Amino acid sequence: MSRVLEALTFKNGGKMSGLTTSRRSFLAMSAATATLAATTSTVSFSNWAEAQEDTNDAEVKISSSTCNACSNKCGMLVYSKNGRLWKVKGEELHPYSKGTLCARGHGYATIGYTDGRITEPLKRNEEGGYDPISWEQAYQEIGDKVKEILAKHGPGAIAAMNDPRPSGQFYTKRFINALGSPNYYTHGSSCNLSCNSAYKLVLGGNSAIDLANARCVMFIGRSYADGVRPSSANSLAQAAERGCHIITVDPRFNAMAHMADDWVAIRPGTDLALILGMSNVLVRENLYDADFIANHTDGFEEYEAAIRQYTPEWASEITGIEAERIENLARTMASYAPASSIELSWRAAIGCAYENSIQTARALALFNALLGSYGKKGGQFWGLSPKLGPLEAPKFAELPKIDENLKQYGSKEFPLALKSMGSASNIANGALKGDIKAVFAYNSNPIMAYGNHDAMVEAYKNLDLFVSIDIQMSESAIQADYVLPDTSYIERKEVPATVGGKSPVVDCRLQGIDVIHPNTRPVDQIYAELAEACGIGQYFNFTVDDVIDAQLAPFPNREEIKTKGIAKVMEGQFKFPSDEEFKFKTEDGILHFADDVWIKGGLGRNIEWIPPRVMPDTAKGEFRLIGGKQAIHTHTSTTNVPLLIQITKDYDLERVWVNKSKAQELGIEDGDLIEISSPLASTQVRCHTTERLHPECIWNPTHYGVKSPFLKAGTGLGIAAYDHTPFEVGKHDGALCSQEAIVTIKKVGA
Amino acid sequence: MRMKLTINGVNGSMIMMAGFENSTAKSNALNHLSLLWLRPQKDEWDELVSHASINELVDQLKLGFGIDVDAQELLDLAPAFDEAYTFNTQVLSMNFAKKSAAPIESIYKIWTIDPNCNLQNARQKGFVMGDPAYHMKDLMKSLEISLPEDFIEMPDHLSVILSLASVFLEAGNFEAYKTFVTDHLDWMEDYQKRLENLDTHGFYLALLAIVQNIYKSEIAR
Amino acid sequence: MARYGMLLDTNKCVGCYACRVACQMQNELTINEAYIKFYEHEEGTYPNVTHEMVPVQCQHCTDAPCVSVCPTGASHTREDGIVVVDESKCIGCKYCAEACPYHARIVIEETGTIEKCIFCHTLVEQGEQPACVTTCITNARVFGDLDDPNSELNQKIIEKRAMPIAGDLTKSNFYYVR
Repeated sequence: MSRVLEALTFKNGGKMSGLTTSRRSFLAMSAATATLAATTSTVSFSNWAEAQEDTNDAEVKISSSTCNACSNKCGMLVYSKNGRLWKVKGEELHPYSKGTLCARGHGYATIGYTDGRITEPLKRNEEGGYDPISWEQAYQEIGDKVKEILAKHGPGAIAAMNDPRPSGQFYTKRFINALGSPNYYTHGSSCNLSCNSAYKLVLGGNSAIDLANARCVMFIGRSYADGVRPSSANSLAQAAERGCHIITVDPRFNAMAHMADDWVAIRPGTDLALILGMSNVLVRENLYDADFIANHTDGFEEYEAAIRQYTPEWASEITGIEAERIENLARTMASYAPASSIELSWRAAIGCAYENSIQTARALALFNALLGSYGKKGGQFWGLSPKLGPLEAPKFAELPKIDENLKQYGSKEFPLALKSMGSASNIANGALKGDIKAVFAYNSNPIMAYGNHDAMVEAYKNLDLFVSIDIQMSESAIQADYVLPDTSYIERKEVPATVGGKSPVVDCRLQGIDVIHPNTRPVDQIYAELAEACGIGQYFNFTVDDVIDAQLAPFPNREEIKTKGIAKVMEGQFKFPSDEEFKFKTEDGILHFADDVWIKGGLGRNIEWIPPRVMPDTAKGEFRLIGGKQAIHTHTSTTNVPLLIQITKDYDLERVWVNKSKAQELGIEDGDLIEISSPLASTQVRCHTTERLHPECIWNPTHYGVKSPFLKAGTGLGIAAYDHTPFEVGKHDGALCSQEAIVTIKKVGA
Repeated sequence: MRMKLTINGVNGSMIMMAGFENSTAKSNALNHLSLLWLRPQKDEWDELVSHASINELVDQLKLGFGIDVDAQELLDLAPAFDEAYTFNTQVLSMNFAKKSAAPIESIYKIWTIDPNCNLQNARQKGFVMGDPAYHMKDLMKSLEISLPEDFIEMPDHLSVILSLASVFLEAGNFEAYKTFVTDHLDWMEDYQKRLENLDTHGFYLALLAIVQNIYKSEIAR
Repeated sequence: MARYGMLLDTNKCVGCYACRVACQMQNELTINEAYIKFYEHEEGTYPNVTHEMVPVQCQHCTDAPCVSVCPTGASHTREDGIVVVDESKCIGCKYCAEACPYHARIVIEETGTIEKCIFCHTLVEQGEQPACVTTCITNARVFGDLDDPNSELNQKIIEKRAMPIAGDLTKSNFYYVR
């Protein structure tokens, strides 16, 4: 009998001389006796499940990673059983999670198991469909194309972008640089490019707010409750509880505004005027920190002269806030100095929202200097910054020198833009002009998130090559020529990352579970193999482990970091500097109130008012369309998680907000279907009428309006973020200008 | 109707014992069905849907399960290789999320019934590598059967299930076979609903109907 | 014996829904089933407004209407004050759900029986906290023994003058700081 069974396993793809019953079974057995011996009880599913329950404690392993649901990358513990994800928990040691995970962390952890993963490389065919191809074929064709583009157009025609994560960032940058191209981009142009560029120029780099000791904080647009980092929300709650004076400047009474002492409902796009008005008050009433100004800045006299015209009365006209109130805000903030500052923000109102955002951030940074809050307890500080070890030749091949005449695309046009981010949005312009011929997008969705969708689709059509490395068929993946499937973050180990601050840590994603789809590959492998195919494989002559070893080398507790995935470093080293010790991070350690560097970006040597690009004509019934975040979603990447979308559905969170009085004027009631119109589009969505919103704008949570026909959970909910935003990057910094959008609304059926 | 198996010269008539003479037909039918859900390979596919093969399948279904299928209808439905390949890669794969419907058991069942797991998706459907997959994995390990590499992440793929059912029958283990089929072929209705919502080739709906019939007749015994 | 209760400070609640998710995970609920409901309360006229997010779950009342109306005794109060439902006795009549003034009870799709927040008593018995408490990113929740004068819960109730949401209506053991 055994010979019969062995023969059954004969895996012959071909025919056996006319005897069709000799058809192969594609399972291979090595011993027939086992199948014979199997009984109902050994085969039964319910018996197996019961036995599984009993073995729980013995078999559960604990590993460590960092959450991928947003760019906070909170530390998390990953429990697995038999290689399967079993539980996730916030990591105590990590400064951002401190033992908790937000709803997204839990929802996104299982993304690897979703029915809807891309499980093999895909190539777009002529009919607009997608054919599965082998990795070899994908690499061969992409490599050939890249070599062709390099030969015809040079490395400057190729760009790579990513929403930074440890390995993604490392490998994306190395890959594009190894090609000889300086065109590395983060997602900054749709996040915080404007403000971070300003802070680099004014301060030398972002400072952080010392919320634990702050006596007064002003938030401009930024909400710790909507753009959630668990530890920040916690710090804020504690600060409010102990009596810190909190001011929130926002056209919307956002989810943290109830913790604030003061809600300043500002006309959207005019935050710069408010800051200038407040600065004017500090200067004319001598409420600024003269010592700090004298010791650490220059150009104050010029600034003083420049700020003179921006009286609270002037600011009041523009912002819609009473002059007296502006005065009081300034005086209040000064009264708490130096433990008093404006929080630097991420995206919100000054990260990428307006053409004047970079100038707003500039004014903000200077205002904090007036308060003398830099380097002070309760003010703004620079925490410790752990340095990863270098990658030295010959173990790590030295990257080729990029031609010094070849600059990052967009850097000439937007010299003020922070080079480490660049403008990914502007790459679409490059594609339209024919300057950019190839784009690699890793962990990013440029088509949906970096500009108006239709404009991006048109632009990217001009590329000779568009490669998307992703885990599901996002709007970008469906436009790509090639889609390369990544493993999900828990399925692999990654290079180390640092978290600076008062108690820095170094963390390192460890592999938490077995690879789920064997035909997907981790990002490090994909880039190394792509490099090989593109003729630059020699620059990837190392493994992830090699990078980990080299980068962790400076840390005495490197073994702990490697095995536990996280450890504190530089313990006890942080202290606030004395006045003598304090220096800004600028080259000369000084903050320059007046600076020629701004001129090449189309701005003045001195701070001045510039309006947003567009303003709604309220007499004509126009509104500005502004956007924002919600705690349960991250950009466009979580709407395919049923757990999270269900919350949206249960509480109608996709609705666009309209000021109640305005709605009444237009005959619109809470929950009505409204039509939002602009020269670009006409979209429909249900609205939420509320008193919590400035009457000159409507507010859209920017997570919805899924356009990929393949993603299912969020389909049909809400409207996309930029359907009404004309694609025109900011002239000073190349940022998205997401809120330079004017619309009208009406009730559907009216 | 062939009652004897001849493979590599070994006479398989030993298996033909009274009362179980249809198990070979069942086993062959299940094996044939299992191959039809795989990503088609040119020569093999042509053979699988050839006139002779389809007729044989229909005979085996009748003999083994008492299921009546119109051979000509099935033949007419059967797609040629190119069409079958396209359907498999576009619909029977997982790449296209809601526009595809991979025949993977875990997707149609709660991910795990183990109360020790409280991941957010623990009691949801729509995820791979759930309990059914791990059960299949453990089962095949204990039976010392190895999966082809392509199926390591889908041990609960319909092809694997049908194939293993076929192997149990070949081994003459009817007890295990019945238990196995009861446990692992009970999701056909949900799968059919999903396929019906897509632009699904009639051939596959027919195959699914056949498998459903097999399941119903086996659990009734 | 302890008498368990909870405090929730809505001044700290940021409406992040992490507690809803953690609760669903702990209690093996489907994505559609949630023990914690969220009420948003907006007051005033622009620009003088305020807003409050009020998560509400079973209040584990000492004078629980759901217990007194239950025809089978399925709905009952434990010695430690936690109100639970004995699934084996529940006939799904939903009388309790109607009686609960906090609308805290839900029907479980799979069984047709009624469930609600059980203060994660299996975790509590092991010396841990309920899932919603552990997960709260702003530490807005406190759980503990109301009969222990030294418990953090009691101290917070006094310090913050926390009160049940409906006064004395059902002798609720769930206190809110608002």
